[in-house]
Amino acid sequence: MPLFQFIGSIIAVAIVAWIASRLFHNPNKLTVDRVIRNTARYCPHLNLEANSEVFISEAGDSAAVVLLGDHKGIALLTALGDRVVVREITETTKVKTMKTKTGVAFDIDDFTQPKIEMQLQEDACNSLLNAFQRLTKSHSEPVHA
Amino acid sequence: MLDLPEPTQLAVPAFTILILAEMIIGWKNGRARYEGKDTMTSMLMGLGSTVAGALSAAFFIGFSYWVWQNFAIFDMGTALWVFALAFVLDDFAYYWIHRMGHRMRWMWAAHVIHHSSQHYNLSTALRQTWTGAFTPGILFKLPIFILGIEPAIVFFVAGINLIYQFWIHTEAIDKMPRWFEYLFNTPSHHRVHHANNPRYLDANYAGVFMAWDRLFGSFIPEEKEEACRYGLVTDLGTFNPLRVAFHEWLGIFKDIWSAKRWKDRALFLLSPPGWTPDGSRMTSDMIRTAWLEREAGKKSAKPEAINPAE
Repeated sequence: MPLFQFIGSIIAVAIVAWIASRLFHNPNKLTVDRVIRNTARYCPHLNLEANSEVFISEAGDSAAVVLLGDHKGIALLTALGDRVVVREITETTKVKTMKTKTGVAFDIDDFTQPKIEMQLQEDACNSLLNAFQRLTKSHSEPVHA
Repeated sequence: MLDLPEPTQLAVPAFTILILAEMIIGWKNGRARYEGKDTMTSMLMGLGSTVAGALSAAFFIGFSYWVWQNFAIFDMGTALWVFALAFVLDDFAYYWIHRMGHRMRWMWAAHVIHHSSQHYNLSTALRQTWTGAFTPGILFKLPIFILGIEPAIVFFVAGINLIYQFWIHTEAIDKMPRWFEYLFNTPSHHRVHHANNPRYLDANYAGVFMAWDRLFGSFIPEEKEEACRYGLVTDLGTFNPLRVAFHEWLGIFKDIWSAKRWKDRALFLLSPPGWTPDGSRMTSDMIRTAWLEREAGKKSAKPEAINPAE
């Protein structure tokens, strides 16, 4: 492919994508309903409404669902464009959490989504981290017969 | 060597115009939806696929001609009927390449790119692999060369096949006439193929002729009561084309690296996506089985008391 054709193609792609973004606005933010609906879609085995705590980032672009029932774990959600991506973390010991200036960040072993950041108030941040630590503790405890 | 045009290269301007047309129709009547970054990624994957195809073309053309020149049983010539026969045989080969692209992780690593958008529109058709050259897909076409059809004819009809498949990536068209739906791949059949609902997984692999799916038991019709949701069973968390292109290859590499037995290393390549020695991840078969069990449970469960709050 000649260079000028390649550059022309890149410009054409950018123009088409720009038109798409102008025609189809994406004002939707994550809400509790949307978070529960998408988590249920990814994790249909969970009884979410009875056994979960939901945390939504103040920017509305990410969320965490702490799963408290038989399937202890955490579901991390991010808004990707106008769609939602969910990661169910069943082994919390494999996830690194850290407090940031604006909230909390999760480092996960996922090539397409290595880091998820959430903007949270101090109380919500502490609450989420405490819940996460409780889960990690329960996951790292040996199971006795 | 027969000098034939590259149909897909010629069709690129038409693809762009049709994408813009679908976008405007969708904006007006809501029957198609686009997202800027998703569209950008799909089209960049298409552009990258063209570049990758050009880089590997010499190898594939050389190999195909070597097979044809040394092993062809008949000299089929270049009559019009040979093009028609090549189209049907290539579509049959495509069916199996595509089916293996979903059922063998090695080939899925290349094909997953095409399914990585959560949108389904004409730009999704352009979201093509960059790494097809690293899979054994070409082996499925060897019988056509051995039969005696010149590779240039096969590559030409394969291009026409790909052009056909462009228009079926749309939600703007509901159903085609019944006879057409029976014979040919349509937007409805291909929506099912792109859906990640457990009911629809691993179905409708056809390129043009639906006969292959009907014949080999992989046909599932689109049901009105269950709308298709698009994407992967574990969707990607990025629009970055490089991560989109190589994520599954990296996953395979990591799995093979950490495997303890040679048998497991081989199975990480050859088994369906999601296979693990300990069953800790889910293949599409396992997802469908779990769904069927949930559905059976729902049917056998006693009716629940109505919650007045609902």
